[in-house]
Amino acid sequence: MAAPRKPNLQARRPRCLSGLFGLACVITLFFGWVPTPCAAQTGTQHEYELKAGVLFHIIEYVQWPTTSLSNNPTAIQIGLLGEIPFADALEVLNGKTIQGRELVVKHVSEAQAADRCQVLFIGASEKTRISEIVAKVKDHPVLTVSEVEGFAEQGGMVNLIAGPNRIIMEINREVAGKARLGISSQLLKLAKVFPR
Amino acid sequence: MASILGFSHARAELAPAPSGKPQDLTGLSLEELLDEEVTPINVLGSHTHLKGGFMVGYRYMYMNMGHNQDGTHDVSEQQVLARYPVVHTSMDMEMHMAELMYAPADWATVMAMVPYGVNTMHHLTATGETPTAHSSGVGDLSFMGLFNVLGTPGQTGHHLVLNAGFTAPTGAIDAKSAGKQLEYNMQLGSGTWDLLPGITYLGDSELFSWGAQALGTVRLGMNDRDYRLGDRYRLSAWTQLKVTDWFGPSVRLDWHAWSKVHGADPAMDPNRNPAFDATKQYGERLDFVMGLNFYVPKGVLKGNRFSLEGGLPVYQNLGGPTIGVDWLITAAWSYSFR
Repeated sequence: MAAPRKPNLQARRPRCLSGLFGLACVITLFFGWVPTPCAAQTGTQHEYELKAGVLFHIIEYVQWPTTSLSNNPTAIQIGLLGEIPFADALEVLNGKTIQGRELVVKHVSEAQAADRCQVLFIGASEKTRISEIVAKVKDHPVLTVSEVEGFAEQGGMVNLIAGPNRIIMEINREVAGKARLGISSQLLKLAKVFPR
Repeated sequence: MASILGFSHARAELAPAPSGKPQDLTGLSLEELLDEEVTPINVLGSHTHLKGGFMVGYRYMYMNMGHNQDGTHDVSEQQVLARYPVVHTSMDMEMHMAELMYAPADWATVMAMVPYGVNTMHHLTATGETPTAHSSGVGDLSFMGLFNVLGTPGQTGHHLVLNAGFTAPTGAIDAKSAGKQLEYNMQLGSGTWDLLPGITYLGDSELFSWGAQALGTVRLGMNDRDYRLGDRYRLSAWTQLKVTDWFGPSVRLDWHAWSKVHGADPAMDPNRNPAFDATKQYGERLDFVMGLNFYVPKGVLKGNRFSLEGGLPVYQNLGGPTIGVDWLITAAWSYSFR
């Protein structure tokens, strides 16, 4: 047992007052100390970086009829239609090669002009015109890709949508088949396939 | 802030390019790209998991108590000794907590926590003796479900999570020192099955995360020693700033309130020690807590999260005289994976 000691005789001031003083001090210290935050990078850009990567691999798994590549057999043209946030993330594909063919990314203003492309990426800004755009290219072997809910069910071929924090790939193999595009079964295994 | 919820979250992701120039991710396989998070997790973290996500964690909490209060005012040891033969001069409360989380669905995460408490209480008697009492052991196991009712985990924006859990009476309520039953606050468990209802609001942007939580502990029935601890209520609000992907400081306001004990342990004489008096075991406290949070976004340690918090009460109103909190710290580690 320790040696007897005298009790503390002095009660301190009210706790709430000393606490409030402490609070004021720590707030001052905290906000005085926090360094300037770095520039933010939006998650949306990352989403398009992922979509560009996914699109690259999709092209690897698609076979176009030889006639569709006759105009420029050494290139695969990717048309970007509509307003696409962070389109520069998709332009990363420009100049890459797949099976000896160079990817050429270009902006197109009308679906009509897209019939010379092998891939047409339709931005979400064209949501209300999806059926019209798809109808314009349906007789051409153009892989239509979009990011609009229900695109693959409305006659589009590939839909890349942001699900619960992942990119979800939907493919309408029937529409692709009608356009004479061959889609590898390996790709279909990773996609939500329509019609079910 | 993860510590409020009792967990944190980290997932595999690619860190965004710092300059704003788009990253070329074509080097990743299609499987890897489809598995990547659209919103990369950074030091701000997330609070519930996506389907298949696991988290293991360890948390150490320490609370230092070194003064006596009655209501909102301090009372001296002499003042307490004028009313009781014993006064508490200080108390150290330590808690080691193991945590495990799993998300069976995107909308639901379940968690289990195993606490191990170590308590030390220093006394002073009217005769000048200074006995010290100890208690240690496993506390009440708790289990909780977290249900996302608004928003998707991993995505920025506003989120609402319902908390529903319970504790099992696995902690001792007969802890003794020198053969004598210890005070209510030295016991390791409640002795009752307790419900843990709550609701959590979470918000985040690119630079900040913030949130608020209301959580209750509702005691059921009476324990084997003929009492039921008072219900507890907790309101918290916090914010965290992302300085980099791997570091962010945080601040938190944490209000606790607890009501008096119902019934009484027959081995505790309320005239001998105020901590034996069931009618005085109530109070409320507002803590201001600052934290440093670290997350490892890549490399072999990716998915690890560390945080260190320190705080002090800015308001305490205690049924007393009883021992009050002077300061507290928490250190936590967690690792998330699928």
